[in-house]
Amino acid sequence: MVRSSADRGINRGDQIGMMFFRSFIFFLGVLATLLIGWAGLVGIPNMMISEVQPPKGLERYTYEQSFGRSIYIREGCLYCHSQQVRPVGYGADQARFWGRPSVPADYIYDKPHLLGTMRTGPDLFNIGARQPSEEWHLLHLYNPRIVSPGSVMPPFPWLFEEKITAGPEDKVVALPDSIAPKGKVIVATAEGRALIAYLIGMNHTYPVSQASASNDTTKKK
Amino acid sequence: MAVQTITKEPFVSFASDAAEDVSEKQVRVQIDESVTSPVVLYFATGIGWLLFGSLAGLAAAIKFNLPEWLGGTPFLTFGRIRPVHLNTVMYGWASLAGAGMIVWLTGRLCRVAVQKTWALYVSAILWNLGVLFGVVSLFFGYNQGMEWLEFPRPAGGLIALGFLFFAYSIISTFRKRQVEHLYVSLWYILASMLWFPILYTVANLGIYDGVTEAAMNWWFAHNALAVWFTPVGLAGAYYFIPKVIGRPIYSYYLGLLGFWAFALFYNWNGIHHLVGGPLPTWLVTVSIVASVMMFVPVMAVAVNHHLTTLGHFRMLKYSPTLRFVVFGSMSYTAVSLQGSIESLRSFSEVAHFTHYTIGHAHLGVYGFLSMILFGAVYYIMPRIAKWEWPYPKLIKLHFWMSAGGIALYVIAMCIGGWIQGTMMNDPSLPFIASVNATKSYLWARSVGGTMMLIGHLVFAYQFVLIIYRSGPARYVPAWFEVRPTAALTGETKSA
Amino acid sequence: MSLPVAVIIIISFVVVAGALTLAGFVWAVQSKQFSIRQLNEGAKQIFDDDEPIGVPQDMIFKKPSNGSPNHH
Repeated sequence: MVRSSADRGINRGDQIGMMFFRSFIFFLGVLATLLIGWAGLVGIPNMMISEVQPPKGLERYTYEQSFGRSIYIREGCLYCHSQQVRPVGYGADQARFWGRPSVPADYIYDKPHLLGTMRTGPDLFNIGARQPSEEWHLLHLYNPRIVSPGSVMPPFPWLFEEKITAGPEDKVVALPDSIAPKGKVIVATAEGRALIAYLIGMNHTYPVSQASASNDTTKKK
Repeated sequence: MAVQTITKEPFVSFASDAAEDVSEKQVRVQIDESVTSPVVLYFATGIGWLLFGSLAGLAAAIKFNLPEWLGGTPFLTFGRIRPVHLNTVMYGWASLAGAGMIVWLTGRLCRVAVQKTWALYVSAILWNLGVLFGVVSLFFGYNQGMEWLEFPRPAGGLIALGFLFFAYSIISTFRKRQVEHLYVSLWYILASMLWFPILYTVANLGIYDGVTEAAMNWWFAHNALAVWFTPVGLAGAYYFIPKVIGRPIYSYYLGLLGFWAFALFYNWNGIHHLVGGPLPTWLVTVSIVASVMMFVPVMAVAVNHHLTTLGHFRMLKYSPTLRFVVFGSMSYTAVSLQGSIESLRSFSEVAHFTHYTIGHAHLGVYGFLSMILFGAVYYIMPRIAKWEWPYPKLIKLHFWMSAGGIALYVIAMCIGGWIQGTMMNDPSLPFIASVNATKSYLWARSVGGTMMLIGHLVFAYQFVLIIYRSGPARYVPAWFEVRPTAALTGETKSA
Repeated sequence: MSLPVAVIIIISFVVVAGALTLAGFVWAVQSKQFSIRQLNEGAKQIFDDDEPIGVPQDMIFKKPSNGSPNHH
């Protein structure tokens, strides 16, 4: 059984004081581990990274691209696609010509960040450079398997609508005859156009100075 | 019945030499009675989210196998179902069932009736409202855009507030404790009471952007495991393993060391989710080092849990709680060692961005945490419902469906993910090859997920039975007096 | 803030925190706050006279050997 403090010759007042003191130490230690961890992983890096300047080649998002970015978030694209290009030594990103390794400065206008943690589909950080064809994106978003057989990406038909004839601003999806509706056209809605504008705008191939590239690619644990 | 009435004052301290009119069993039963309703509320709502979340998870898995399935409506697109699954199983099932277990455990370990139980009701309501609001928002496409932090701020606010009310009750109980020594499970519980509200609030402030926000995102997500979900699981395992076996923890002193090493190192792991990413190298290295250092507390826990069980494995045949909890504690060791290795750059080069990560995550939150929570429910419910589980065969079915399901899931995802990563890193292969290679493993994952869902349905069914005291009457360890008459005459409901 | 400054700050934090912890630990042992044996006593806290060490709980898949009413 638990040994009582009376057995140890300690009176009740001291006992309560000691319990309080020990609890205090415990909670202090617990708090410290959390806060110091935050400081190391978030606080200090933030102080360092906030000194980074926007690269000359990076434009702010246009209104349409911002809107498209919110569609990207809404449809959960980040659960299958990443937006970070790794350097040599970390996979085949470079060998696949997905762009130069991304640096903190590239993300200066990104809120929320969309770095992603899954590559069910390829990295999209430079998809605008790799695949600038609007036509391809229209088809791909309407039904990925039209241009990418074997893909497991979901279709997004609600980003499109059916019309009798396309208006001057409309982007028509060039569907193959076998699945195109007869006498009608499929065009992208404003949301669809915005998402495609965002995707095609994803081009981070501009050069960055050595100062803003703070990754050291030669070290490996 | 000579039952001592429960007053608001604490019982006579066991540390004094006063004559003990109250038997320990009476004390235990009364503590259990003080928490029956809140614990059942937490468990019931948690199990409700478990069913919903498992269904969402299975739907998401099937969409990998059949991408066109339910593909015509935006509400059910993969990109929305997936965060619905994650948030309901974590902030719904795991958090609520964990809270129920913690309430009961705190009463037992402090040897006092749980205080301020009104706060537990408030907490459960706010929390469930928060999760509900968050889930509905996700279906409609409102997503904050960060993994583990998808819920809109009002939902997060409700959850944080709910947690504070919960913490208030736990800490009030702690202050009225009738024990001198705090059992190791209480360290984890008390630490999480302080850690989680701070963590959750800081993460939802929204004051960062760019890659710093990414660092904050993964500091949060991994710390959520570190300061809430893992402590819940360890608190349970540290109690149920020795309690059910009837042997004290193997090296309790090691547990003390393990706790502080855990607190120190686990807080620094977060950036291992961004190995190779656009962050300062030193930051990533710090997290890799911390992830490997986790070896120390994990080994302390492993020694304690496994060496306590050693020599008593035949008890696994007889105790459902022990089966689930030992499975959970073994999964903890496995997933932690796996995680330490996964964080190394050479491993991460292949496994990062693949299904391997998903396999690892499920081994942790299902193989470890959920299995321990199942074991906890199987232990606690008879003692507060004063009714034994009516159908032991259903418990066995639940166990094998869950254990078999998660084993299939994790093995399929780890092997499939490794193959996926290897092919992704081979530039001579087109990207689609990495997708095609995983398809059979994704089918296996769906089978595993179906098994787990079946286990959960069985579990939920029997949970309802025990609340309503249905089914055959059986001997109950929690009855204040054994009532042979009722059982012998075949009555199915107690008075 | 440059990298070396950040590293110095972080390492100082860790060293100071670690030193304080170690000092606290040494003080605690030396002022006899606890002994190892007493520490291990804590493991017995979850047992009592009614559920003592050596008696397993929750063996519901097993039929008890005595004649008390039990599961079907």
